[in-house]
Parts: sequence; structure tokens; C-alpha cells
Amino acid sequence: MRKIILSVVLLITVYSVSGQTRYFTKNGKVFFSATSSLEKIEATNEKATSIIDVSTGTIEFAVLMRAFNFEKALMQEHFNENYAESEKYPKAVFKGTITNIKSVDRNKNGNYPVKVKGMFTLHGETKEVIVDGTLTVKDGNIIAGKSQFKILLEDYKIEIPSLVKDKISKDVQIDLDLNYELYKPS
Amino acid sequence: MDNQKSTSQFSQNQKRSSTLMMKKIILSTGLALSTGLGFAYYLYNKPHQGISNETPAFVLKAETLVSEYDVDEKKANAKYLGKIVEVSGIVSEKTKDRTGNYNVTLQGPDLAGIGCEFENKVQNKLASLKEGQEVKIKGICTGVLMDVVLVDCVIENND
Repeated sequence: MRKIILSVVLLITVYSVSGQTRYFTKNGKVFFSATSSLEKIEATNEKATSIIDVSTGTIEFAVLMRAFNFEKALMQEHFNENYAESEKYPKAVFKGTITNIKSVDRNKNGNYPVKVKGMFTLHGETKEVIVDGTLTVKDGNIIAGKSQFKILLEDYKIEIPSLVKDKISKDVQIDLDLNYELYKPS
Repeated sequence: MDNQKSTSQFSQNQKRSSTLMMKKIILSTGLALSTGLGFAYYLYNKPHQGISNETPAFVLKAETLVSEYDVDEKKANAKYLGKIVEVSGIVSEKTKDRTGNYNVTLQGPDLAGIGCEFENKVQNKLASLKEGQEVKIKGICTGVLMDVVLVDCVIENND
């Protein structure tokens, strides 16, 4: 199945290659913090993937829950087993569009503010999210994307036991730092 | 008389020994409790151990792992997710990120490969690694996006 998807992706890319409109990353960085006044809860993930097609403004983003790295081993175990339930829901996925992609001029270097709207699936729950971010253009290409936003844990049915309610923040701050490169089908 | 004296002495002795016993119990309970708490605190704050000394649950070729994910992601996840795997394959790509860390991709049977994120302390071992080189890499399998992703990786045979 994945082979078919890959070849379809490849085909589409081959046909649209004249415009060179796709950018991707396999090593995007995600940082999240659910830090409360009582406890520091932070994790990083350096293996996020993302694809942007500037001709349509579509953007996709995905991250593996198990690839989040916590400073404390036990916290990581609790995250995977009790909260994210990584066995059942191994990834979080965003699919959406950059609504003002037209304002990003690839002929002019700089940071462009963008609005992104789409569906975010986490812990098996899908919600619409609208976030602000920036895209960085350098020498005719998009080389980076950044965004900072918050999500509510209860929106994604991630339950916090009452015993540790004060230790975990109800909204989680997420920082995306994505490096993009031009997609060159081989 | 003598008898009485010895009895009272006996009871006194008994009293003393029972208070001594109490003290011992309190002391040892306290000791056990604080050791337990200390241990719990230690466990709670325990940092990542790394997997360099751990035995892999699976030893296989890079292509095999990717193929299994190609065929049935769910099944492959049930088998490999969160497990330590050792894969052997050819380095198809080595890139350096903005923080100076290396990212290494192993070649798969098609477009997809295996993306490896390494432990910080093995980064220096990666400098000499070349694209096209054959390596053995041990890491924790976290699933598949574009590539199958291994984290906390260590390199097994690059001297």
C-alpha cells in the first residue's frame, strides 16, 4: 500500500516538477512543553516530516509519538503509556493549507508571515486548528518554517488523572522548527 | 528476697530490651522508608541510559525492516514499535543539521529508507561515516513516516 502511495506521490511530483513547487523535510524539530508551576515537562522530537506544495499552498506535517525525547526516562515512559498511548496512536498528523501562500514571494529573501488552517489528528482525535507561522525564503527557495501554538489536551481526549492534575498544564505549548529543502524526485 | 530482686531486675532488663527493640524498629523502618523514597526519587529523575549495552530484540537487514513496514504498517508496529532493533545496511544519505548533529539515512528497497537519530555521545563517531558505506546501527524503532525512524541510535561497527 505504502509503495503505491509512494509511487503516486512520485508520479505527481514528476508531472509537477517543471514548477519545482514542493519542499520537504524529514528532520523537522518539534518541542513541546506542558510545564506547570510544579513540574518541568518538556520533550523534543527531531524527526518530524513535512511537505509544502507552494503551487497549492497545501502543507502536511507528521510526527512519531515514540520519537519524543524527555530528559527523564520515567516521564517518557508515562507519556507513551498513559497519555499519548503511543502503541495505539503512533503518530500525530496535520493536513492543511497555507491560506496566504500567494504572499510568499520566492524571488525575494525574507521571513513571510503565514496563516495555516487544517485538521490536526492526535491521540486518535481530529480537530480543526488555525495557526500563525513564518516561512523563510532564501535564494529562490523556501528553507524554513516556524510556528508556535497551543493545544488543549482535553480537545484530544488526553486525560490527566486527578492525582497529578496540578503537575501537568492543561494546554500544551508546541514549537515547530522545520528546515525545508527542494523535493527532487530521483 | 533474692528471688524478688532478680525478678524486678529481670523485668527491668526486659523493659530496657523492649525499648531498645522499639528504637531498632523505628530506626530500621525509618531507614527502609528513606531508602525507598530515595530510590523512588532516583528512579523518577533517572536520565536516559542509552542502549549501547542492551541486546537488540531483532537483528535484521535495513531493507527487510522497511519492506515489513511497506507491506503492513500496523503489523510491523505491533512487532517493532518501542523495541531495540539492530539493522545493517548502506548509508544512502548523511546530512548535518543546524546544531551540528548528523542525520543518517539507510537505504531501503524503494524510496523509503531508515532515518536514524543518534545519541549525542556517538555524534563524534559519525564524522568519518561516508555515504555508500555499509554499517550496523542499533536503535529504538518509533514507527514510519516517510522513512522508518530509529532513535537513540548507536553505531555498532564503525571504527
